[in-house]
Amino acid sequence: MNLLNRLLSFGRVRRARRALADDPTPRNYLMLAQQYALAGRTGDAQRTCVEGLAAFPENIQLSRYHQRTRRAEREQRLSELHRELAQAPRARLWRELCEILIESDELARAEEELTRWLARDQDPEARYLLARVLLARFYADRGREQGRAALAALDTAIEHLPGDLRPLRAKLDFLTKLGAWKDARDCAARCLAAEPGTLELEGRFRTLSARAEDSPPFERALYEVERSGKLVGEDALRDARTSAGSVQALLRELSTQPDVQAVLYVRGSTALVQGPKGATAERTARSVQSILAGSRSTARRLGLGQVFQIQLEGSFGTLSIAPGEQDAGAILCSGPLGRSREEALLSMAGLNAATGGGGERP
Amino acid sequence: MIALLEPLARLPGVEFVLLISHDGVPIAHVHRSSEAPHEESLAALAAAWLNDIGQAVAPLGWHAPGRACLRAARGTLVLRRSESASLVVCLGRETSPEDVRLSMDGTLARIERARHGRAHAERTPAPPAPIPYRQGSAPVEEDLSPASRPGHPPGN
Repeated sequence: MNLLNRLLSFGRVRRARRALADDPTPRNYLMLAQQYALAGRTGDAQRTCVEGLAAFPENIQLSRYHQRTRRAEREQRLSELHRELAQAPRARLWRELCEILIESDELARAEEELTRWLARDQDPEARYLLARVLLARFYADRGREQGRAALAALDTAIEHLPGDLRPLRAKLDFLTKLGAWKDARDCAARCLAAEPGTLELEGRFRTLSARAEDSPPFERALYEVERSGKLVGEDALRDARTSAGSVQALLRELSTQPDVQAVLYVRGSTALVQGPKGATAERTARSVQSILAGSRSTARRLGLGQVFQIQLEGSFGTLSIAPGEQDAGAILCSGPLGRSREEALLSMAGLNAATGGGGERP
Repeated sequence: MIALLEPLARLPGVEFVLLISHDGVPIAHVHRSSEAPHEESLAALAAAWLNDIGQAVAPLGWHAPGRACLRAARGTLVLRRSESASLVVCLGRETSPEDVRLSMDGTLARIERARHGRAHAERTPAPPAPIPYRQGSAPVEEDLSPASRPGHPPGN
């Protein structure tokens, strides 16, 4: 950022701070955070978002902006780590890089880096992180193959890190989520042997012992999870998410604007569509999903990182898609998108809203 | 062709400018940074992306988009499609695709004009010689006017 821009941004930040002091609304918090981000002060932008979210916890735009600033900071750190690793590779840098990638759900990239790390110096920490990658993949896909691979990786990590409780705890959580109570109880016993007298572990051991009598074996539990697609205790979490709010109100609000032809919210293989009906709605949703998948793949191959926005313009109008980590919002309008609609679209992505009930295209 | 791309490449935030054919063959490129991306792979990936989008929107009865932007964490890819080629521009993180909209449109229009001009020049036959001259050395009878002999230009 050059000197002129820095001077201008200083004035804009000061004005935004004054506006917030006069009238502490979510919009003013957002404006100040945006000005900080434009000035390259992502840390201050994050702190402003946190402060705003403490005052207005339900505000979607603030929470979305908070996520975006965090993501931007994470991407910046990733590129720094890549640069440092190219110059002087060492375990601490690999570990931080892989942890960031696992937390941001970029499992394929994390696995690639871990394979490289393991090929270089067989660090036991890399084995534990690889087990975490495989566990995350199982939690996402719930297939038997992934489950077996995750268990094997956890056992290897336990073997290579004998005094470390982290792989043991990860295995305990994995077996508990599967409902393989007997195996989970044995694992809890090993945890207690490594860390005797821990109250939380003792409580878990007692609960698991009570359930162990009619426990399915590991393979059977894995099969049940693959068949139903549900982990133990997941229903409660799903209910909690449903009550967190629905994206449909936002879709309806956007679709009432005159030049908006369609508004979509896509998550997994489900799409909520406002505007077109029937087969057209279905085709529009399929097209959006296809564009999304192709664009993510292109960005990955070009080394551009996570996709924030895809915009297409043509004789059909403007189609803008804002992908989140697991979901995406899309809007099709006949004219230009405009600032307010763009912000609404960006706030839609990353909501991870429940898509059940009322979707046009399940 | 490079001369047409250079003004666009000089804009702040523009890292790479590439003109590609619709099947992903690079025609010309200009870059500012010393560490240039591999233009062939960029051309192939950009063309493949545009073709994928075209196929994805075809069931809706839409034509392929004229402009496509992919804004990501480490930069932005902007594609502008014309009748004969596509202009690909890679932008830095701080640059918005709107900043290069006019310049890209102008560059592509100039490229199209240059192409049309060249094609037009190839189609048009060579202009006649300024001073007509007689071909061959057939004898001309003194008392016959040259215009009465077909195949021979008048004069001389």
